[in-house]
Amino acid sequence: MIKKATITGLLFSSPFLIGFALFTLYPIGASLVYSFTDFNMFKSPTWVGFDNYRWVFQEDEVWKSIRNTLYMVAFATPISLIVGLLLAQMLNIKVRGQSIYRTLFYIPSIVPAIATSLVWMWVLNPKSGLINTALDYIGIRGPNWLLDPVWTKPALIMMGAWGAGGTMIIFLAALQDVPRSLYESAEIDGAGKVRKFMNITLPTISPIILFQLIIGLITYFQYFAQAFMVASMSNSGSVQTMAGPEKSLLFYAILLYREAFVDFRMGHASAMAWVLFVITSVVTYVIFRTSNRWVTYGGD
Amino acid sequence: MRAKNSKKAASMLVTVMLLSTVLAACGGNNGNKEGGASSSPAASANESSKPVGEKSKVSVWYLWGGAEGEALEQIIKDFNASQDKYLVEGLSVPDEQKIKVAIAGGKGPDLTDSFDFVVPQYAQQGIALPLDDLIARDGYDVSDFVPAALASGNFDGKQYALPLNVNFSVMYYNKKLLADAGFTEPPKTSAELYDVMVKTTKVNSNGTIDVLGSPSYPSEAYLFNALAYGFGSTYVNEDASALTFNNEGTLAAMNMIRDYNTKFGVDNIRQIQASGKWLDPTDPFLIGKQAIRFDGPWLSATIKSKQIDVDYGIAALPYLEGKPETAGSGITGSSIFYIAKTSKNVDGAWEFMKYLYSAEPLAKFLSLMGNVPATKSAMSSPAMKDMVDSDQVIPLTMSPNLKSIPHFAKRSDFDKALAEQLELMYNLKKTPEETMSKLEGVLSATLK
Repeated sequence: MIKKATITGLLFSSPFLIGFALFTLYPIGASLVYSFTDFNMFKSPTWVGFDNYRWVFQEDEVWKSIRNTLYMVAFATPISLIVGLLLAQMLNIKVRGQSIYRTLFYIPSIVPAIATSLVWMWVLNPKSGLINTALDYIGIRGPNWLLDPVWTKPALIMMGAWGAGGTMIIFLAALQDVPRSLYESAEIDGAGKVRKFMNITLPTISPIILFQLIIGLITYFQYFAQAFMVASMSNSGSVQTMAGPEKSLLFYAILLYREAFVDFRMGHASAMAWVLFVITSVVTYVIFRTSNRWVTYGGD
Repeated sequence: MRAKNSKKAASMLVTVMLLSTVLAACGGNNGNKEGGASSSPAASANESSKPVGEKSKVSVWYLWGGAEGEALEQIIKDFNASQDKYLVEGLSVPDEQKIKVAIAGGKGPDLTDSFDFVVPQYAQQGIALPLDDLIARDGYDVSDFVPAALASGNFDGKQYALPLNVNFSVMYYNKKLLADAGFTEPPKTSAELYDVMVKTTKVNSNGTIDVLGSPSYPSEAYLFNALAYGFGSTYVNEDASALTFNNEGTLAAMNMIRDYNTKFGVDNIRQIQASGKWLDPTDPFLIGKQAIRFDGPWLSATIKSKQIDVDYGIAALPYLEGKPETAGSGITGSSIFYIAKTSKNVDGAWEFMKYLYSAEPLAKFLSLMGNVPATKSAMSSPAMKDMVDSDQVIPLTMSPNLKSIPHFAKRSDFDKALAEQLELMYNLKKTPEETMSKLEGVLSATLK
């Protein structure tokens, strides 16, 4: 016999439960099933066993996209963390107009990714863009950011760092939580600024760094919007493939999107999604396991 | 107790309401005549005075926006006023993926447009509805279409789409830049073209390019097919059973791009390509910084509509040196309209299609867009006089040397492989010879 309270509880949580079942659980289950089928949304799916997974591991473009994605994960994640932390550190200094600076640095992170890309495509214009014009003043000829396969990913990393306000704001909150007493005792012991940062600040906020690291990794494993915009808006002629110059912007999520919604190979796309899920889970797990070596949780 | 009960009743009510909203959102696929979520404010505003009840709605989504979209809306308005049976509602949806996904979900348009090279893919994926039954039922006369254009809507013996226009590149040249470099006439052959490209290119003291002499803007990828076909190349034979890609025309096109890029530097050319936006007031040709441009007649329409001050001329694409019999060569393609397989108003879509393709509406629509129509009746319609430079462009469409790439199942794989290998050649990472031998292998594999 189910208790009345249980029924009431379930009824109250039903909006979420139903929404979760219909819009999250069911699509997840469906994509798992579709990953074992040949399905193009128009004709009914046919069972193909592990063919789609075999395709994922054998297709050159998938490997290319994994390499490109790992590049972003490996470089963009730490850079955006470092930029975010440095900004937070600077904005934690008590100066006049502190709140204005904080707002200014936070604003870019609330600009939609598409708008950010459009603005940056203008900033990165090799002839008249802000960056190359500035470089020109000091006698350096700037690169063709978005058309040179060597520079496309660094350009995207720069765009990412510009939007590090979200990371910054969380670090800022964490920095304000570091007990003043620790700094004071360190000062009495004669610690300098760098020493205090390395031995007090970093260990104290390390749980937040772990959190930001994992969020950052997941974000860059799924990297899509900016690259998609850049690849489809530039004159590189790669509009059809959405891959950017010499496929330098063919990220995993872009290839997945292309397989699903351009070529309608839902089986391939679903298998790719599950492989990405496994990769992301493994990486997150490894980081969690190793985190006890560098993350310190202060107990009260 | 009462309070408790009424709370409970309220929670039940809320739950039921939420449930029904969710279910309604999920189960809206049962065919009513609405034909998807589309509704054009423009169309409904125009028609609001008429009784809409008896008319069956036809939704037409199109990729165009701006002036071109307005031109189509004008045709839709004319159609709606011309009869009482159907009400066409137009909607600009510039994202083709969105249209395809909407069609797949049964919430898409009845009629929509695309380019002819998607026909094999859309036929095989079941996106487009074959029109043969409708054509046969109404005895619709397809002989009015330019045969090559009509064929571009055909795959595996079925007509999946009807062509709107005959798209092909012509050579635009900046008269002043050519005159400054000592040329009184546009280049007629490949050798003359290269000479003009080199001599009109102006280089700054730091090596960067000020004036681009070559048609490499917007990109070599945009240029290549026109250049190669202009030099008399064909990529596959007539029934797409064999590769004919390795020929002197293709090689000449590859070598010309390689030579120019070697001489002026890939980085410098990329800089120009990235600095301006195609058909925008920053487009190098429109600001007088590009001497030669291969583009469609819409460039003339753009120059006129944006009131751009550039003194240009139009000529046929140059032919391969020593092969005057191939003069007037080029590659054609078409924009197409097709009825969605999941259309809920096939008859209405077909009625509007027939109207759109009749002489006057088609000529009116395409002259506004600056396109050459795909039907003979529209081409000779007086309305075409309104098309900018029609007197120079339309004669060029009569050339018997214009060709199109015949359809085959793996056309999109073919295009992808071609673009991928050629890009390495443009960037001087592979020689034309290496590219050719690689492409012969990968392209052959995509043919049936």
